[in-house]
Amino acid sequence: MKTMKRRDSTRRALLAAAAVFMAATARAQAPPEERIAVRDPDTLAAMGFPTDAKNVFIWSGAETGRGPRTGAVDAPENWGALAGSTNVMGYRLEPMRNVGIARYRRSIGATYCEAGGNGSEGGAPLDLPDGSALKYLQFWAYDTDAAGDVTVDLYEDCQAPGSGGEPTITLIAGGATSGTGGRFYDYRLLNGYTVNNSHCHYSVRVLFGSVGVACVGSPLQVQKVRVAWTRQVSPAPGIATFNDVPTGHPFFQFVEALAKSGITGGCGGGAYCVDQPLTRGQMAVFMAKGLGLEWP
Amino acid sequence: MAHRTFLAACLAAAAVARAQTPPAAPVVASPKTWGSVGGSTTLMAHDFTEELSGFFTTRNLGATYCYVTPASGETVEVFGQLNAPDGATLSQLQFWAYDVDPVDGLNVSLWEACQVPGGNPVSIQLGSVDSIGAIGTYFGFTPLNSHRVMNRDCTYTVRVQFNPGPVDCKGSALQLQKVEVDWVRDVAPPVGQPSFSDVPADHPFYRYIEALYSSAVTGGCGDLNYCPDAPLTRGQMATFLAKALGLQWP
Repeated sequence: MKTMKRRDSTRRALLAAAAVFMAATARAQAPPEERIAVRDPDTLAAMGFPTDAKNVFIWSGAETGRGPRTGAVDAPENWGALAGSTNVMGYRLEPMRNVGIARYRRSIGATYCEAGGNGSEGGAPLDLPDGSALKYLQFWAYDTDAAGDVTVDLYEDCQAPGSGGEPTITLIAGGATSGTGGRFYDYRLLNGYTVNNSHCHYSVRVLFGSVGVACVGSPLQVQKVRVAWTRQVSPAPGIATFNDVPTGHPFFQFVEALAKSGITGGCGGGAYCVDQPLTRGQMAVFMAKGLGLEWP
Repeated sequence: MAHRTFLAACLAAAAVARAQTPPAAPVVASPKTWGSVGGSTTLMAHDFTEELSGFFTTRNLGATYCYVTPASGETVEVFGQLNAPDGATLSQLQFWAYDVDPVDGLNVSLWEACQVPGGNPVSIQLGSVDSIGAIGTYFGFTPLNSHRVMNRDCTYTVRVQFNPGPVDCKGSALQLQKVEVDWVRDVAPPVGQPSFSDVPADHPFYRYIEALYSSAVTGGCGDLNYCPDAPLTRGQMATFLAKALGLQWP
């Protein structure tokens, strides 16, 4: 018990250090206390990282819970640019270890190992809109063998320009098909994890079996991975751009967003004329600028 | 003076489908669709992955071609994932290839695979076109009949087969260069009951106001009304636009 407690206090100290570190680098939307540094060598090895890696984190905000709706194939979920989802098909996974030995057999519907000892780790990039809030991660797999698993993870890899440091790698969410026979589906709620494309990259990583375990054959398959997201209006700045839209104004956040995007420069004299009616002509300018319209 | 209704209609109508025709002129022209309403998704040859990784094809910036002779009865095929906006309609698929042999050819097809949580993937072919018989640089296209993109349940894959059938495809005489799929966004048709008592189902702007409400761009003006004929201030418009576009990460 004492050992456990000591470990716990060490863990808390590490968490605190991680929190301080992350507070300096992470955005407010990803609370630093939800990012937990991984230090345990066995855990790191199981995740496929060097046992002395110092830059690997787990984000604790992901949960299971009420997932996306189930049932028949239905109409689109998100029309327009405000929200949407990014899919990664199984065939987009590329072998990440021992390339030349590892090979995947692919079809439109699934991917599995054709050959490979330690070559059972695959990755694919995930393109997500900058600043959007992630809603949930879903994955579809196939697993006939209770002994081996297929693990699907969503990773963020952040690296500031010129820092010269190691990238900060965070496991946002993931899961395994532990002991499953047949088709497998699972999801994680991502609770608004905010995408930062300026400094970060997002990847789907898949482990067929465990690190170091051969994965030949079709009993372990990945079919697809889906991440749903919604765009957000950025948080309001601290200083007002226009003298008639102060920080306490109910439309402050939105007017600032338009100004920052270059859609409006105000109505002159440092004002935005927030309560002035809009003409159809002015609205045409706002719309065309905001949507980048339109070559015939 | 603009009205809330008019802004709603404009925001939504900006996404209404616009007919696209295959480019006939053999020159590189200015962009076809600016902004987010319409556009195209291009898959370069090197975006495609092989059925059996790292084995069958070789790639450069402009083309992909077979590297080995496949075993008898096997067809070399590669897959490229097509990402198009949810709810958009697909207008056409175009491909560019190179083919010196009138006997051999490429087949390019677009597939939709739909899979609900826990379900099996079900694939249907949305379009198919091939270059068999072509000599030299080859361009082909197939209409996609405004097929609706459904990213919640479905994924979209361009499949390219070199020499459909068990034919030798080794060498650079048969190349895939790129594939382009054109799409236009659409405004969702309203479902269920009207959300606002002052915008009934027969209101001319019903569809567009429902689309803004469903997207949480507006919650109305209170008391289950939208006030479609009320004038709009510049401040209100800023809120509509910023929410609809998800502006602006600093």
